[in-house]
Amino acid sequence: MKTDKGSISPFGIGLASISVATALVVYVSGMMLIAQHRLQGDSDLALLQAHQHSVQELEYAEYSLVQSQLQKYFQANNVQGLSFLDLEVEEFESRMRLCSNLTLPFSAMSLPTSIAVCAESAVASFDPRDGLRVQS
Amino acid sequence: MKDGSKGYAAIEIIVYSILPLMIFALVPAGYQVIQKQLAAESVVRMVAREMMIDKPDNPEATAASLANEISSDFGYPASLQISCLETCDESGGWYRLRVSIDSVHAQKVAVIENR
Repeated sequence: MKTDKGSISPFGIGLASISVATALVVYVSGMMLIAQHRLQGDSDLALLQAHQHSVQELEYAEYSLVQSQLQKYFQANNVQGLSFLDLEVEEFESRMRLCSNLTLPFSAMSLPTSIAVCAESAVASFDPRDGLRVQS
Repeated sequence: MKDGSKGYAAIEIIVYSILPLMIFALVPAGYQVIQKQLAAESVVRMVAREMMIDKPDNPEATAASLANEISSDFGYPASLQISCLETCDESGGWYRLRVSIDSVHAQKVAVIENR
């Protein structure tokens, strides 16, 4: 190779590096986007179900009831790897922030293998005593 | 150029040019799969949300109709499967919804209580 003139190696190595980097970026960003989208959907539906259940049972949202329904929903929906869950429940409004660890398949390359994706949800209901919407 | 060098150059061209181009060619295909997966996640989430809020009398028919309507907005034909998870009767129940768009799938649980 040293005796040849006009080797395409530098060009080829550059092109190969760029193509692999592009494919990796598309793959990882796609995985993160899908995981975030999925977690947001799970979070919205779980909180909606838990809040609705509590309001139907007690006419207001109660922390322990919302929390137990959330756990039931997450189990039924096979939501795994939740690393953080912050729940705030007021009478007619529930808010939740949760994070999940997304595992990346890079363990052999000594790169970080876990990324946290997070989602926030809020649900509000009507106050049956005066029919006013508390928050939305 | 010697014969050996010619052979080496041919291998260089294949390894360094054609393989990267093949990898580049995978990018649009990967992008399509991501788009479809996101569409499936959105469709199943919207259907579950509508069912949980509207509490339809006939969840199976309503879910299928909603999935068709929403997926046509996304431009991807989707098929929906619905199965009972827990206590499905006149008052409601826990339903598992599974939306498929080509080879990608997304699933969520819809809960209908006190219909």
